[in-house]
Amino acid sequence: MKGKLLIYLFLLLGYMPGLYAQNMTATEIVKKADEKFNGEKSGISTMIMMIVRPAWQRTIEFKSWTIGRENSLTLITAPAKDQGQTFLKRGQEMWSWNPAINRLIKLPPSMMSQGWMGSDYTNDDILKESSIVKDYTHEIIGEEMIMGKLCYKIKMVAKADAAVVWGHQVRWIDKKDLLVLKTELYDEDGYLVRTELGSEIKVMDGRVIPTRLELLPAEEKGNKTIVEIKDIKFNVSIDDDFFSQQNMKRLR
Amino acid sequence: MKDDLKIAWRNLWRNRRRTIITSASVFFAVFFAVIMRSYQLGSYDRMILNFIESYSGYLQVQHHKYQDNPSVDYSFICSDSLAVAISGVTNVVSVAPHIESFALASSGTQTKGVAVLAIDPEKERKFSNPENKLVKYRISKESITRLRALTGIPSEVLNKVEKNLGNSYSSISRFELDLGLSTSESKQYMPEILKFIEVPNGFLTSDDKGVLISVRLSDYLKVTIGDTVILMGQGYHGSSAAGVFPVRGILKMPSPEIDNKLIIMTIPTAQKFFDAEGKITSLSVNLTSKTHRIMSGAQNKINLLLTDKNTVAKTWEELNPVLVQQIQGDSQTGMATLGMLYLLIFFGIFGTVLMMIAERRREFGVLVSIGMQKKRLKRIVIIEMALLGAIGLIAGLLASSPVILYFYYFPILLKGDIGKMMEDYGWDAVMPTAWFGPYFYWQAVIVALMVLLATLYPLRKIGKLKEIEALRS
Amino acid sequence: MIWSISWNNVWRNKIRSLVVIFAVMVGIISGVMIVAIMEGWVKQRLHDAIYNEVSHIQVHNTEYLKNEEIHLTVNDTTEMSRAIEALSGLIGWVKRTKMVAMVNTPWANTGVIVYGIDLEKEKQVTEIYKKIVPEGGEYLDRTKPGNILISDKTAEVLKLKQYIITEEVMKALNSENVSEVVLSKLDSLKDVRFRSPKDFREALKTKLTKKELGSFGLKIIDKALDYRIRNKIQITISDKTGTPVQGTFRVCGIYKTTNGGFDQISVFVNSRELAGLYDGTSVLTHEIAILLTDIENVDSVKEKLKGISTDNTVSTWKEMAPDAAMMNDYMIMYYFIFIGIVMFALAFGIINTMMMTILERTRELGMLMAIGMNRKRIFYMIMLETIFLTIVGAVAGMLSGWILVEILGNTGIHFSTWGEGFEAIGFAAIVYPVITPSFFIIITVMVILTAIISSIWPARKALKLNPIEALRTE
Repeated sequence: MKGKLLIYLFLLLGYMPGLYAQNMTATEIVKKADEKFNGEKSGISTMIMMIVRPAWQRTIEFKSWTIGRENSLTLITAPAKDQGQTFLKRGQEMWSWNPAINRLIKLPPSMMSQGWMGSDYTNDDILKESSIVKDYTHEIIGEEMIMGKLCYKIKMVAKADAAVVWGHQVRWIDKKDLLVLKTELYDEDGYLVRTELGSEIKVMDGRVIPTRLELLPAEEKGNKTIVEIKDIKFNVSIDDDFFSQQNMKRLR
Repeated sequence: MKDDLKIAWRNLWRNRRRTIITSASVFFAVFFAVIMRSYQLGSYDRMILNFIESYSGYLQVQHHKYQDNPSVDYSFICSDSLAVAISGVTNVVSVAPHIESFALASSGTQTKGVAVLAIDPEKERKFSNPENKLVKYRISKESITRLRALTGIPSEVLNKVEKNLGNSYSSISRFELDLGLSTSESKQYMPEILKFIEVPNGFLTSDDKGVLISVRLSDYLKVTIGDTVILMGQGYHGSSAAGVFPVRGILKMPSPEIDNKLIIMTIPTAQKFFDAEGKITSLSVNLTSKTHRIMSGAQNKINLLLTDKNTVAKTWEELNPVLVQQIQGDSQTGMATLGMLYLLIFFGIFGTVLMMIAERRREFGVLVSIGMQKKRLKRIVIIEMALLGAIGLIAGLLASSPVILYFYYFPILLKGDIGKMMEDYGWDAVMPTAWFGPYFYWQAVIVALMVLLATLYPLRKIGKLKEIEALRS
Repeated sequence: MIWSISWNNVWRNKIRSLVVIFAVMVGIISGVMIVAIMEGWVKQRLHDAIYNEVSHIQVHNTEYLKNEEIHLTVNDTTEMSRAIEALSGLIGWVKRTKMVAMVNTPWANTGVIVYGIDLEKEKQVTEIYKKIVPEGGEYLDRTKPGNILISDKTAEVLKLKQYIITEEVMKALNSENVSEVVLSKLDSLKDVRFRSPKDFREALKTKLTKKELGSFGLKIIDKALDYRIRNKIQITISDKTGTPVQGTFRVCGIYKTTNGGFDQISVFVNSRELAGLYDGTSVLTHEIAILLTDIENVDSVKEKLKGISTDNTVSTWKEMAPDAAMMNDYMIMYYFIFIGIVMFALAFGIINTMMMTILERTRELGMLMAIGMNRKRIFYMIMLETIFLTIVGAVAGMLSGWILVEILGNTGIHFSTWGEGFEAIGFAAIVYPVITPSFFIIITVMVILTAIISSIWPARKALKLNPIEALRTE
């Protein structure tokens, strides 16, 4: 979850002003927007996640260390009941440590079916490598204003034998900074399943990024998950053995 | 009219043998129809009741969305006063709260998805009664070795015991069924055998923080009484659930799928684990009977007591619609077989009537030729048949009653695989008759209809009667 | 001489003879029908359990039965294969990969057991390939890779069982005589896709009256049903290192058996394609299913196969589907009681009838006795008559009984329950009566014996007649 989230929110601009995406193809646009996140070698971030439901709401705070998209380690810092729990992602595997019971567990696929920490983020979001470049065909279908910024509207259709269950996606990528501001995900029958919105564009650690991401499932009105980045540092040096089971237990 | 009645009556007594035989055919018809139906209903009812009383409850109070989404998120607050109030509703026998959800169980290096059932140990005794399923005996290699070495029990007997190596038992009767010793062998050796294969076990106290675990799960996690099991999962509104629990007892569940993954704990413990203080997912209610009238009566009263408008009381039929349709299908098969019986007994009655008419042809011929109106003769015959029918009916109902009573209190015992399966579930392996009910009178009504039908024949015959030929027969 | 007298007597009084013949006939037919109906019902349950789910025998690694982990494959598969092939009385057998998995679509996910099967061999062992629902696609095909077969229940959970009222649906409903009024009401729902039966039903409830729902509801649901065949499903399993791996498959077909529980969790793919997910090189075998020509041989075959490896567990269908076994045993008890009741009813019916016929012949018998026929002879005469009649009745009964079972055995007896009509799950129970030759003969013999024995008492009564009084009877 961490990996993808960061990827989603990171932006690698600032010192690449010449890259106004005027003459690029749709695929190149998507690739560039995606690559920017990938280009990030590592990062440490502090985030707040709000799970919103019609009848209740929950807020979780956590800190995250990531290297590329392979490894990440997340520490829950609030609320009190969940504090101290850590999650380690290494490739496709996910581990969980709970200090209250002093127990390290490798999470089987079934455990992830309910969404991470009760949110709308699924197993796929967390573990799966994003393949929007190679698994889809891309086409610019227009330009629209999202939150006062002019964006490319790009339609991405899943290839027939691609290992994704989505039918197609529509992405709004801001022309100036190549930020993904909005994504709509559709199933194979053309029905909207989920919408993702990026907002609150700020500069953090020298980069321009949307610091607020909202995940809105289409079917359940009143359900959404919001993630806000409080703080983030890029290209910090983190040792490979930081991402270990022993470290999960030690992290505070 | 009164004269007709007198004549009819006298006719009957004039030829007693014929009267007895004809009414006997009605008698037997009623007798057999009642008993057959009683058996059908009794056995089927018993199976349904077993299911309802040990698992589903006649009614359940749930969050109205729980049935489609069985998660802790759709739990509801059940105060003590509510539970007491529901217990007080007429026809309510017992009430038991439950929390049902899922979690991940872990011990050592093993992890497995399990079903978590939280109960009130006291109240659950009247429901699924898990205490019944506690493993009391276990046939281990050790126990066999000791049996061979320390007792004088003959080897053939011990070989039979060894055939069941690795099995756990919660009841002696089930063990005996598997063992297959003769009654004398049983009497002689069982007490000693039991002593060697007995295992200590425990149940939950009302505020216990420990858990009960099913046999196969305990084998997989390699835990026994006194060890601890770790449970992790998602609790109320997405909170993380995690806890360490000592194992208090081991249960053997009859269904192997459930036996693979059941954890039982007390309700307070589960509430803490799932972060759902004061909440439960369902309240099961047992009633005195499952007749529609009693169930809907209780359902309505309970619904009135529910102040939380998100909760609702549902009947076992509403909770298990597929089962209900299967039962309907099965019951119709039963009706078909009953239909066959009716056919047979109708012929019994008809045959007798047929012969009776054949025998009395001369008599009718005489009566008509000396001036009795055919209409009157018909009336008399109708009264005769009615009287015969009534005598047979009443006698049949009376005679079938003791049979029903006997097999209700001393039903036929079921052996073989089905006997074993029922024992496993903690049910009595019997096939009982049903208690008296509407079916009793319905059979009488149907037989009465048969008599009516059979009467049509003599009436027709009389109508077509040619006196001369009749006199000559 | 007695023989010819008896024979003549039989035909002299047609009514009497016919009554006895009929009684015996009906006795046999009812006995046969009762047993045939119950047998048919049980056999069906059994057949479904064996041919859709558990087969006759299954072999697993003993540890696998406790916990389904990928590395717990069947031991000594080569020897096991050899031993199975060497069995006489083998219809077919198949090796399966069997793994716990999660499947998901963009809308939902659920836990299932994914079976990796050898497509051709599987057809020899199970009948799932025959259970594809109408408009439900097709079975797996070796020439069409990347496919998965799921059940109607799984499709529902994954939101692949959808409903949509298209122009075609409207036309079809029209040809089925759905009223114009109803069709125009449905117009507002046209081309709206409903992703679950519940949603569709709720929508229909808002548009149509209860009466309209009752008459046409089921038809509408039937025609508007749209399975999303060819949509993708993602399977997630844990490979040999315990790492989750995913694969995407397309739904090729939807199946449905009578066992909802089985349907809910069983999905099928080509075993080689499944191997591609966890390993690629070799196909793992977690389960071997065997179908024999004769179900009675299961125990001896089990003994044979047990010896091959102590780490395997060989299970018979009884052990794997105890509820089906239970049904069988339960039915046998049922039979005894009901056949007993039927025989009793028959006996009394015949006794009654015989009593009547003998009473009716009082005069005739008295006459015979008066002219010197001795009582023993009279007794034999009556018994012979009964035997003649019973045999005629028996033959007639056996013939009609057999014909009846044959006909109904083909068409089936339909017990359809539609519950609350519109809301029903549409559970249609069809029973195909069937009776084994041995049962048939047993019943016939029982009926004949019953008839004969029940005649003894009345016949003896006849002997006690006083000839003088008898002559005087009317």
